[in-house]
Amino acid sequence: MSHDPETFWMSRAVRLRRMVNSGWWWAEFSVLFVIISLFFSFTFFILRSLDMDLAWSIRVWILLLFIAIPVSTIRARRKYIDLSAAFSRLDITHGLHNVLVSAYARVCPWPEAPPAPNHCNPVRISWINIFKPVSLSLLLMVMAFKIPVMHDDSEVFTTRHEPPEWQAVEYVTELMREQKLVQEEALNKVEEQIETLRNKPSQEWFRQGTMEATSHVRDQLSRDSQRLQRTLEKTAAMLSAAYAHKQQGIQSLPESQLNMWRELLEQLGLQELPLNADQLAALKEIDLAQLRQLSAADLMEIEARLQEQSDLLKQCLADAGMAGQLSAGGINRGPGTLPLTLKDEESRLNDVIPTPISNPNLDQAVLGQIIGLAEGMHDVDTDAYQGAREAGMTASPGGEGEVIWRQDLLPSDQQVLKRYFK
Amino acid sequence: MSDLLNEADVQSASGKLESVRKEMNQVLFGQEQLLDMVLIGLLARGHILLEGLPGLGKTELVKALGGMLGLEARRIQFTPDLLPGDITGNPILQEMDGQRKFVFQKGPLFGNLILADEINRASPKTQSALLEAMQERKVTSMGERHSLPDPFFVLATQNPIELEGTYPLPEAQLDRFLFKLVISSTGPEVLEKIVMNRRPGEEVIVQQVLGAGDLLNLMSLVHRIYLPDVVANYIARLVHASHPGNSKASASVRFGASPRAAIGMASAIKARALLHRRINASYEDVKAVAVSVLQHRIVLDYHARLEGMTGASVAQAILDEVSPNRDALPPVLIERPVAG
Repeated sequence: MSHDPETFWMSRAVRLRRMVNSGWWWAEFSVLFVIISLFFSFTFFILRSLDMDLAWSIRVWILLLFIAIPVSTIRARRKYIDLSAAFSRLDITHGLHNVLVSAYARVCPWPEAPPAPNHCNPVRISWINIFKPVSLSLLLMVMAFKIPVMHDDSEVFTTRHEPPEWQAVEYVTELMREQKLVQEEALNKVEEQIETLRNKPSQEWFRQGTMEATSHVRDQLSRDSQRLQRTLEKTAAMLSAAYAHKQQGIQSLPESQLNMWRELLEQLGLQELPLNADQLAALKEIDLAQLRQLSAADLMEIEARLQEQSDLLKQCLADAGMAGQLSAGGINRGPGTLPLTLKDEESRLNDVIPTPISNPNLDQAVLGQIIGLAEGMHDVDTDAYQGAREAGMTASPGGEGEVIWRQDLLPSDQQVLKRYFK
Repeated sequence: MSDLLNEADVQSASGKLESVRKEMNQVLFGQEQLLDMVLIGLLARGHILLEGLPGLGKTELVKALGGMLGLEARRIQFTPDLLPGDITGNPILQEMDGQRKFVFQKGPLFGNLILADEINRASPKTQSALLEAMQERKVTSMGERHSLPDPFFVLATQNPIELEGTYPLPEAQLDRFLFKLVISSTGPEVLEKIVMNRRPGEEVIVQQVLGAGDLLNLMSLVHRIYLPDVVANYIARLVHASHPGNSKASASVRFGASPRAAIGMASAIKARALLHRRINASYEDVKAVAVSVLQHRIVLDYHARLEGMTGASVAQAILDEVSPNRDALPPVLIERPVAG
């Protein structure tokens, strides 16, 4: 370090000026940083509560931080010090009687450098004051992102199960496809409607609009299927009548029945669920005005097949819960109960200690929020000893409870029960 | 800048000043700091108010200064019945060439070094007679202005105003004094030295170490001392802070120091810099003279007087409060303790 005095002191003054001016810049920037972070931490928190997209607000936050840089520079510039002020501070620190200021003004020669130049900085950095606002801002941000928020209740009951009516509709359409009963385009149209509903966010599956749309599709399919089933029944009955006429040697059905036959064929082709094209074509080839030309066996076979399809469809609709009644509300319409499990401590109903419950969907759990309620039948042992019985009678064969014990309860539940009965 | 001092000028001046200091220390024992301040006041062309109990050597100091500097020293004893004309001079009717004319008879004020002894014993009217002389270095009588000799200094002494039969000096006159210096009693060692070296009624013999011309030359050197702008700013902030509402220390001040105080302080710190062989004034010079410059110019309110505060204590509080550094540090930086 054998600089000449002017170079030495000038470098010290420049360094001091840079430190002070940077400090002022940081002081201004940190204020803006805290204000912006405070505002946006609240914004993020509120947006999270509303389950809205955070991407745009994060972009605005970053943009504002970038804008804060030049704003801080402009605000801090008023407090920047010049070299003269820096020399003045050095003068005071080293007790130089303002010689440095005078030397900077070219009035007197520069004084010699001090023997320990590394310890001649008039100021030192307070790292605590530097990181305090940053830490505060980061803490606010972390809190904004990590504090659990209260969501709409519908979001709690999320995507474990899809609405059962969708499965019912698909069950019916699948059967029709297997039996080649209905034209493929009509089935695809129904399934597309269900698929459209399924593609919605899972949180919306059980909202009112989706449920109403589901009910509409289900009811429409139910009505169309029942109409098809009835038409098939009538068609089969008509073929049965034709077979009876042929057995009696009558060559043609009466005109009224012929008209009814034509109407049935027309209905089968034009209704919402039109009959499979091959089957319809086969039926149209049957001329009931010329019974003599028809084979009795063919008539019986076609009639039997139609009757079979009608019965199958009827059964299918009954299985899917679509036989006759329209869709209705009720507790079964929702996604079902939450999978609540027993915890280590048993419920104490007459105690002030709250009953612990758990929810595997912990990422949305909030302290104090009711995430679900389980209500079930009292577990009454109907086979328990009821008192003195007639000699030789067995009150309980036993075994069933043990089966339930082994098959249905989780190990943790079993431990709780064991402790309870101890 | 070319008119500024160089090292050679300072060296030559310091030799003369050192001889004055040495000679003064032979006259007044144990008052080195006071003697320095008196010398600074003289170099800065300022008038000085000395306050202290009788017998502490005030008159001796003035006589010795006059002898050392080759100046014409006059002593005026202020009394309650002293009239303004008694000090400035009076027109006297004289018969010249068969005509009667008023001829101005110069008073004792026409000297280089005036000792206004016990100035606060005179009436305010007489005290005010000094105003024009101290500020403009002129005396007006019968419409004629008479210039006082150059250099012209007033060293006024006053007894503490708690004593009976004193009139407090008006603020306007106090403002004319560059310094107010308080002469305190000396310790037993100094007293012993005085006892050993002084006898009653015996005049102290001093050697003349400078002439009036030398003194004027030194005064001109003072003006060429460099005053950095940061130091001038410090003076301005100190004087500004002495006004009520401008600092915490001035909360009990009724009236602060005038611009004349700032000008006088700038001149005084230049003189101190020359005395300490420097070609530039510094913060340390300001700190050394600030209380002496400000204490008699600060007018305290009633409550402050009741609480026992003085102009000196308030001036010291202002000095402690106002930092030499004009610019504050940002919160992320901490000032290191000052060396030494």
